[in-house]
Amino acid sequence: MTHEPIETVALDWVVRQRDPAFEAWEEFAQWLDEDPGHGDAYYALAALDADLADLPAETAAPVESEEAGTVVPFAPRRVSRRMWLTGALAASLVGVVSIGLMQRGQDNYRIETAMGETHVVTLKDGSKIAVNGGSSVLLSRDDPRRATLERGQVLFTVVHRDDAPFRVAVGKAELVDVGTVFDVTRTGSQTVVAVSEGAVVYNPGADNVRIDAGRRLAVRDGGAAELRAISHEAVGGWQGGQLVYDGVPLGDVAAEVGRTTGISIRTAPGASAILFRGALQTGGEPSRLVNDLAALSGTRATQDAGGWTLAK
Amino acid sequence: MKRDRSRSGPPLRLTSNALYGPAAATAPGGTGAGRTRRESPGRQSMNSEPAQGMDAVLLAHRAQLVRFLESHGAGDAAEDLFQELWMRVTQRPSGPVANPLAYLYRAANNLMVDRYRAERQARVRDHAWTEARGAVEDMAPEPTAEQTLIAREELRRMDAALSALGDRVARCFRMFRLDGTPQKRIAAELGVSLSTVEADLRRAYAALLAVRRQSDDA
Repeated sequence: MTHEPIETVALDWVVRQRDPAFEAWEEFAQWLDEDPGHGDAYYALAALDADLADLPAETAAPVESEEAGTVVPFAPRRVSRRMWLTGALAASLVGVVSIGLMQRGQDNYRIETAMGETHVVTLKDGSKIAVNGGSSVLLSRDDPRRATLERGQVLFTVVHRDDAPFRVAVGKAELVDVGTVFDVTRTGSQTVVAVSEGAVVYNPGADNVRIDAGRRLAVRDGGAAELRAISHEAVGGWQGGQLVYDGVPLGDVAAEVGRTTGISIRTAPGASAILFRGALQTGGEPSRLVNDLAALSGTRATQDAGGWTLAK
Repeated sequence: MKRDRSRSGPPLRLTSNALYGPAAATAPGGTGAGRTRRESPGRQSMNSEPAQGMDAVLLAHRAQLVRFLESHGAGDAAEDLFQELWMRVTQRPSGPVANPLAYLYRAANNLMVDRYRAERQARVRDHAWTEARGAVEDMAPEPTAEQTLIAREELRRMDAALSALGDRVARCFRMFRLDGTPQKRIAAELGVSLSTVEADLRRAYAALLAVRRQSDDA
């Protein structure tokens, strides 16, 4: 028992749990059991804390976003390196410059997959690269710490090394790992990076946006990067036969389903921006999967010779 | 698969409000949709290699995890929520996890907090929400324009409230929450004691919570 107000104790739990090494879950459960009021105080703070991920990194005049959704637009160039990268992390990234990857050396090789075909490669350093269908990724035999995603989707499970961070070139941008499992998708001019463990820095030389675990960055070439929260579990699900989404635009979902299963799904203009939440099994009948997707997104699915279309 | 708890028994604990009890029992679609897709985990229907390790850990600690969900006020829904947890955890390839049980406790905790957040958002969106317990059922996956405006306005006010606490408190909070800097390092970098950092964080969270309560009461 404690003499401190419940709210103070609840906050201590929230703060302590932010430490990835926190392990006192049973002690925490005991505290919850002591009084129903403990749970109420904890939930209010834990929900607040989770929502705070969308606070701007630095106080700034609010920036208007034309896109719907609880997305806070980032103005990455105004974010100082210091705010994003402190201490050892900054040290490990000093001197990083954006350079075109894979431009020198001939010892590159390309992994290309057909729609619905996935491929897993383990690199020399133990890092694992899972390539979803309809994708193309360029790797180097000389330097296993680099990859270039040309198109499609790759889940990187990277063995982190402080002295040689893993780098991924995508579009004109570069991603640098900070100890990581992350999924990168390149469709047309759009890049999406979702992080399930550790963190990734997007364009350390320029935009310098840090993407922490449980966050998803979406950026169009030449546009501003947008970060939003996602559930950790939603990252890289295509590898396990189940796709889980937590507020992802339906157009992106349809594209990922296409890569993973080979089923061609288009989204009608009004439907592609719908934020989708739900889980899809990719192993079964295409029609069942598409109908599930339609039902969960509140759209109608129609089939023609070219595949499926989802419309409002 | 063994059911180690009778479904007919009374809930171990009635929640003190409707916030995180009924959702599990009532939500057939919406955010609970994932759960309806997954069949009973006991069947070992998973065929993906990477999931096997975590499957075993989930099974081995099933009783503890269900108990943990009950501590969170899951009541009768604890078994269902365990299945949702199972789905969340096993569907993605997990890298090496130092302490699997702690990892699962955290996942279970996140599950409950996420549910609470989804329900809270539904309430914020639906001003007319009163005692209607069924309201959780129509949680739309898509934030409405109004909800977006409310959320953005709230963030703006939180940002202002934080700045009003002064540079050091705001900086300390941002380093902790947005950059993930450990408290010790914040103390070193700002040249203050660890207890000052703790006090600053408390003040910041209290101020932000006050903003939230205002928006909830609005």
